[in-house]
Amino acid sequence: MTEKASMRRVMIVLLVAASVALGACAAKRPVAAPPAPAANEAVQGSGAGSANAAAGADEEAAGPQAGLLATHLVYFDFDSSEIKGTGTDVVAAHAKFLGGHAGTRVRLEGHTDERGSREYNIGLGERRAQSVRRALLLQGAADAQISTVSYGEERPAVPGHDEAAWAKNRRVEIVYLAQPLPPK
Amino acid sequence: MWAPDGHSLYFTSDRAGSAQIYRIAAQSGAHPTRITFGGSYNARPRLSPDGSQLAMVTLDNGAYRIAVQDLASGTVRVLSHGRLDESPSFAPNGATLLYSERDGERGALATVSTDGLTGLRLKAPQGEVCEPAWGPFSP
Repeated sequence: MTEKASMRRVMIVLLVAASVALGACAAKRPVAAPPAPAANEAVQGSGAGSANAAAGADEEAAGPQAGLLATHLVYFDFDSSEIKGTGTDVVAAHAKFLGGHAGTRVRLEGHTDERGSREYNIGLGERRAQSVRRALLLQGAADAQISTVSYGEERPAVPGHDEAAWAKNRRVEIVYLAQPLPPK
Repeated sequence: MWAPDGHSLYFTSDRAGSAQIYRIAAQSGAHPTRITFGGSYNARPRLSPDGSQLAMVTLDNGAYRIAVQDLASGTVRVLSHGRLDESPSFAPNGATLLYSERDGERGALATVSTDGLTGLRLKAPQGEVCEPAWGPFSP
């Protein structure tokens, strides 16, 4: 085979690889507002995490808004899943609320900043969500009230490529769900 | 990922406090062996087709770059020069790596030879590309 033909073949392989990869990038766009329920279900349907994917059961609700409960975001340091600072108080407030409202459900959505490997970031987002889950359980919430999902770096809260943007993207979102737990 | 000989697996773990690459034999009761030691972040292992070299994403002076470690000697070479390079994929002959980088606001593809001497930027007029994979067959 001539060198030229061989090169062309390499390029074709590359192009095929690129077109296959396009799908994986599509979600990497900042989400300004909380995602619409429909879009959410589509992502969960792809099996990205351990979220409860029961059809129609994951519509979002505004959730409690009093005091610290108005904050639904817990932020993290770089490459860390340790809850710190005001995050500790926010999680404690939500744990207390869930403990007192046994039918209320939340979904914990773990996110990372854009740095590092995408695969690793899916794991890191999951560890962040699990870290918040454990803290909620230790402080009064019940296991059945909590589901978790990791979006890794695919759903940044804010665009940008500096520490200010990254700090806002390293987070767990506590999303209250509309459908209550069935009474025992 | 599987080693080409099918006897072991390479994976990323933060069991020691930072992301590092480990190898574990594919048999029950095996214990993982840590493979990477330099720096605070080595992730996303990919092995060359002959199993002698390990490509990874490494944190190098605050930037994420593609590095290759010679598994026999342990020597690590950082090959790329971007800010957010990821997803290395070996060519079937093991001489070149394909990876993705940030080109402004977009994801783009680039190649670099495993000796680090030559690289190529694959310009696409539009679109967001990431996670490239080189086909496994030589032309």
